[in-house]
Amino acid sequence: MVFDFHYVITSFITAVHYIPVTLALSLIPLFIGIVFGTLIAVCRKFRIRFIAPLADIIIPVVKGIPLVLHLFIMNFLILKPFDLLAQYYAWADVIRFMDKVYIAIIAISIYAVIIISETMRSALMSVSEGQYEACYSVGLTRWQALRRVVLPQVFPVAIPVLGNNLIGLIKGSSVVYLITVVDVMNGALTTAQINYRFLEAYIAAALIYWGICLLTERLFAVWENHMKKYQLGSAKNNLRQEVL
Amino acid sequence: MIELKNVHKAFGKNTVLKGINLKVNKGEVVVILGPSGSGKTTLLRCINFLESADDGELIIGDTKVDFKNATSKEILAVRRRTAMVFQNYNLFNNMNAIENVMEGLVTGRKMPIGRAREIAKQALDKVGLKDKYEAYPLQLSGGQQQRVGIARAIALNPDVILFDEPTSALDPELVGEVLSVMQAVAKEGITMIVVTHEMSFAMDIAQHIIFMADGNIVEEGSPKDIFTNPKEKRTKQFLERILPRWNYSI
Repeated sequence: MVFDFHYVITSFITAVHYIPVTLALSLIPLFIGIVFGTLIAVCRKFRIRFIAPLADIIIPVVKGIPLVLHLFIMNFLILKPFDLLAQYYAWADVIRFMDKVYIAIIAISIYAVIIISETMRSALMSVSEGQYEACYSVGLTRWQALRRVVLPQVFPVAIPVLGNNLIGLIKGSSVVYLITVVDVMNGALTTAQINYRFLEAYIAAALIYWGICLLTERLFAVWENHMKKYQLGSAKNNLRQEVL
Repeated sequence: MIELKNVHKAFGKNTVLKGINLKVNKGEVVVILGPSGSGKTTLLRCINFLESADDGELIIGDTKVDFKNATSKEILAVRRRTAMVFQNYNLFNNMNAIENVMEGLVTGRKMPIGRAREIAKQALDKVGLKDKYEAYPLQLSGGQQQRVGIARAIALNPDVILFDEPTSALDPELVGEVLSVMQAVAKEGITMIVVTHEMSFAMDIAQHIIFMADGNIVEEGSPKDIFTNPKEKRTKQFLERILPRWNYSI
């Protein structure tokens, strides 16, 4: 079979419809990851009882497992009890059919929480101990110090890395076709299943992922510059203090 | 009035404070002198619990706190009666000068924003930064940053302001502006405990001088006594090194 650009376009048009699925599979985990990842990073920073030692054990383990395996394991871990429940309560087949996307979102979210907690931990370390001490010296509590002084300095530092995390999630989410979720990757492949034009389908999917990632990168660059302009100080100022 | 009784502190096997007793009267300016590693800064940081002392007692006004088993509530209460000026300023980098001064009042003490702003403006005016309300730390010189740091401390109207080598990170030309602000603060009758290496400042401003070495208070007394007639050998040694041309017999 000769490479035919026509089939790339067919595949592309089909796959474009599934962009929202891919975005949901990466943006929801990003959001959950930022919320819980920050929480975990803060707990580890302050060595909160139970949570910090638990995170110390779980994070290196999950970080060392490929996303594909993580997805498969979560698939079985969630599917089995869910099936039993569905049988027990005689839920309609529709629910059982739909749940795969949710499994994917849950699996990727857990993965994102782990990855982003590491991002936030390194960003937290960029704020000097002196900032906390200054807060305590004027009578702020630990939580007030975090909310008013530390976290506002952490996010500008974290944004470029969070951008990279999101790109990783977008690309990583393509493995969900292995548990039959239809995202951009799987959408592009549906045409190939009819006409056997797999190379064309892969190229179509690659083009879409590339486009999304490029756009994400641009958006984060703009956000980063915006933060730099309006958040005077932060990392730059720390550097200055070290020099002095 | 502030009183420290039998304060002990060790970092691992390294004992830094070996039973310090200290009494500071209201409105008094106390300067702590001593070679590096003598525990001056640690002592100062123990007073507002930035360092937790292993043993001893702190009395500040009518509050009495045991260092060994201080609750977080007691610690917060002590911190809200004290203020600190740091060696490397430690201004909140994400806030401009006036927000830096207001933070402790608004978030820490739940003061209405309008009133806090008034107090912050007065404090900044006092340290000569009338035209720098909106400036971020990044946009200020070292001396200006430290003056904001002093304004942040006096705005809280604390029982005592702790100065931790406030001029050590400044270049010589900027030291003067910070010292003169501190002088003005001292004249207002605010209790101050100052760790410094500025001998002339200690001589001019201090009412009481404490000389520390190796975790102990070696000698204390009025500036005149300490500088002109030191009794301990260790004090003489230190002063000779720091003030080589000092004439002991005035």
